[in-house]
Amino acid sequence: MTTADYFEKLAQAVIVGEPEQAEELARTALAQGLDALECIDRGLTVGMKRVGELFATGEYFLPDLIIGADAMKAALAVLEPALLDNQQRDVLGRVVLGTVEGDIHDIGKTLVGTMLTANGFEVMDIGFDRPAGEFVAAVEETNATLVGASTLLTTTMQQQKKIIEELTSAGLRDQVKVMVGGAPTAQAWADEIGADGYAVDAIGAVALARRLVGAEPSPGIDD
Amino acid sequence: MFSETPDIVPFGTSSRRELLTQTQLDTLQGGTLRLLDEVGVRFPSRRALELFAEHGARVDWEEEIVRIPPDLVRDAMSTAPRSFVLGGREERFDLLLDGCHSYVATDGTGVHVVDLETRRIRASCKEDVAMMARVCDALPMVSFFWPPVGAQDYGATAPLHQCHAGLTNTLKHVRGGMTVPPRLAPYVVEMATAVAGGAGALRKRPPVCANFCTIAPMSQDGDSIDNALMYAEAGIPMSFMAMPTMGSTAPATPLGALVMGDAEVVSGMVLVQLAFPGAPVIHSNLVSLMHPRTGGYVADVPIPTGWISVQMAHAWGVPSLGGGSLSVGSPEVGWSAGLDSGIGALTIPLYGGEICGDLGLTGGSMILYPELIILQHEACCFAYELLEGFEFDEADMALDVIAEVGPRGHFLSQKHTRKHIRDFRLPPAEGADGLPRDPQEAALEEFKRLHETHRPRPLPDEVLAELDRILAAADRESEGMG
Ligand code: B12
Repeated sequence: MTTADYFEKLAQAVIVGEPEQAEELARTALAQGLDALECIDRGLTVGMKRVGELFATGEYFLPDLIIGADAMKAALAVLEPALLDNQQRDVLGRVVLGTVEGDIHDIGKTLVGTMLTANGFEVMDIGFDRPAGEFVAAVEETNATLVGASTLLTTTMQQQKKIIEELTSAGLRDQVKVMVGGAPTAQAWADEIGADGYAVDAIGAVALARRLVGAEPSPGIDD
Repeated sequence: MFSETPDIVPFGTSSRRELLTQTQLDTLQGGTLRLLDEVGVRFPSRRALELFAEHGARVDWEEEIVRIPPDLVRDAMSTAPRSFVLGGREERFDLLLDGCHSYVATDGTGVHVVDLETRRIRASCKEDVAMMARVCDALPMVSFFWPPVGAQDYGATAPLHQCHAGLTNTLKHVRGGMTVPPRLAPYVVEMATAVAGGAGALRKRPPVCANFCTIAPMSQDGDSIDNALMYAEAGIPMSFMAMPTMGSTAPATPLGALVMGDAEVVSGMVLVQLAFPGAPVIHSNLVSLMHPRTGGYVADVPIPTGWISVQMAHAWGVPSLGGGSLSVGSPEVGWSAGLDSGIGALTIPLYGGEICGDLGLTGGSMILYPELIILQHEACCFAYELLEGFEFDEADMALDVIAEVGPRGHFLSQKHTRKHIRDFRLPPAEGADGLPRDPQEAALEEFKRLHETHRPRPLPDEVLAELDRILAAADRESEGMG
C-alpha cells in the first residue's frame, strides 16, 4: 500500500464508520513509519469532513455521524500519542462538556459532544449529574477554552450559574467561554447568569462554539 | 358562590381490541424475564440492593446491579393488585383502575407557557398550574390531573407547589408525587394525608399518586427509588414510567424498546412488592423515537407501541398508565396538533389503558397552550360519542313518521323532528349565528370563560391552613439544604 492508500483507507474507515478497522489501520500505518500528524490531517480529518457533508445533504443520519466520529476517536487514540513534540493536532478548541448536578438527561449533551467532535473540537465529556466542582477540575486538568453545561430540568438550572461562579472563584473565568443549553434554558437565561452563549440545538452549539473561539464562518453551519 | 364540578366521564371497554396474541405476549414477557435475570437493572440505592439480596436476587454491590431470577419476579408481581382506586375529593371523582375504564389525563410537566393575554412564550409558574386545575375541573372528560407545567417561581420545592396548586383547585385526582429530593418527599405524604382526612382514609382513597421515571437503558434513579419505598409505605399509588427512545437510549426496533422498558418498569414494581406486598403500582412504558437527523424527541410515531404497552401491563396483572395519547409533537396548535389529537382520542378506547390521553401540551410535552385542552377535550367527547355514546332504540327507526310523510314530502314540520333535533351536539367551533369560526379562537374564548367563571368548591379552611403549614415547613427545609 502506498502512503496515499493509507490516508484514503483511514478516511474510508471514518466515512463508513468502522472503529475497529480505523484503529487497526492507524496501528499498521505507524508500524510502516508513516507520520502520525499526516495520518490525522490527510486521512481522518478528510473522512470526518466527508461525513459532515453527507450528513448536511441528508444522506447520512445521526447514527452514521456518531459511528464515524467513534471511528475517528479510535484511530486518534493510537495516533495522538505518536505525535512528535513539536507537532499538534489542529483543533478549534478544547471543550469540557457535561450535564449539571441533579440532572441525568444526557442524550442532548452527548449529541452536542458528537457534533463538536465532528466539527474539529476536542471534547472531554465528563458525563451527567456532575457537580460544578467537576467542571472546574476538568478545565484545570485539560486547559480547556470552552465549557458546555447542559440541563433539562427547571429545578437544576441554577447549577449552570454555580459553574460560572466556581470558575470565577477558581480564577479560571477569563480562560474559558461558557456555553449553556437544554430545554428550559434560553438566551435570556444565559445573559442573566453571565454565560457567553446559548444554543437551541447541537448544530447551533457548533456555530456558537466556533464563534466563541473566533473561527472563520463555515458554510452550512454559520448561516 | 362555588361552581358545580361535573361528574367525570371515562371511556368503557366496548371498543377495546387486542393487538398481540397470547403467544406473542408470552414471548415478550419471556424477553423481559431474561433481561432481568441476565442483564440486570442498576439500583443506586442501598436499601433497594439490600431488599433484593434478602429475597434471593443476585446483587453486584460494586456496580449496584441486581439480577432477578424469573421465579422471584413472578412471585413478587403476583402480589401487585390488579385493581384499586385513585381517590378524588368526593367519591364520584374516584378512578377505578380495573381494566373496564379508560380515564383521560392531562400531560405534564412542561416548562413553557403561551401566555393567555400576551400570547408570548414565557416560563411557567404556580398560578399556571392553578389555572389549569380550575379549567380541567370543569371538563368532564378530564379525570386525572397531572400538573401540566412546573411551578418555576419556586426552587427545589416546585413539585410540592404543583401538587398544592392541584389539590386546592380541582376536586379530581392529582398526580402530585413527582421527583423531589427524598428529604422533601414526606411533605407530599403529609399533604395527601391532610386532604384525605387521615392515614387510613389515604390508604382507601388516596387523593395523590406518584410517578417515577426509570432511566433507560436498564437503570433506576436512586432518589426515585427511595421515594417510591416511602410512598408505598404510606399507601400512595405510583407508576413506574419507562421512556425508552429508539436509537438513543433503546434499540432502534419497537419490540426491543418495549421489552427493555418493560424490564425497567417491572424491576421497580418487583422491589415495591418485595418491600410492601400488595402496594398499588401502575405500569407505564412510553416508547419514543430519536429523530434520525436532529436527535430530537419524537413521541408521535405511527407505530402501536402504546397499544402493546397496555397489553403488556395487563399481562403482568397491573393497570396501565399510557395507551391512546393525544400528545402533540409540533410546538404550534395547527394541522399536526389536530391530527395528533383526533387520532389520539380514537385510540384511547381502542387500546384500553386505564390512564391515558396526555392532554394540554405541545412540543413533545414542553409547551402549555391553554386553549389546546379545550380542543383536545372536544376531540375526546367526539370519540366518546362516536364509540360509546350510541344507544340502539328500535323506536328511533321512526317508521311511523316516515309513513306519515310518505314519498316526496319533508320532515321539517314533524313533531318528531322538533323533539329530536335537540339530541345532537354541534361542534363548538361555531358562532351563535351558526357560522364557522376559527376553532383555536373559539377554544381560547371558552378557556377564558371557564378560567373566569369556574370556581371549584374549596377544601375546608382547616385543611387549607394545614397545607400552608406543610408547604412553609418544606420551603424552610429546602432553604436549609442550600
Ligand atoms: C427522554 C427524557 C427523559 C429520559 C432521559 C434519558 C437520558 N438518558 O437522557 C428519562 C426517562 C430518564 C427522564 C427522566 C426524568 N425526566 Co425527562 N425528559 C425526557 C424528554 C422526553 C426528552 C429529552 C431528550 O432526550 N430530548 C432529545 C435531545 C436530543 O434534546 P435535548 O436534550 O433538548 O438537547 C438538545 C438541545 O437542548 C441542545 N442542548 C442540550 N444540552 C446542551 C448544552 C449546550 C452547552 C448547548 C449549547 C446546547 C445543548 O442541543 C441538544 C441536541 O440538539 C424531555 C421532554 C422533551 N421533549 O425534551 C423530558 C423532560 C426534560 N423530563 C422531565 C422530567 C420531569 C424528568 C424527571 C424528573 C421525571 C421523574 N419524575 O422521574 C426525570 C429526571 C430525573 C433527574 N434527576 O434528572 C421534564 C422536565 C420538567 C421540568 N419542569 O423541568 C421534561 C421536560 C418532560 C416533561 N414535560 O415532563 N427524562
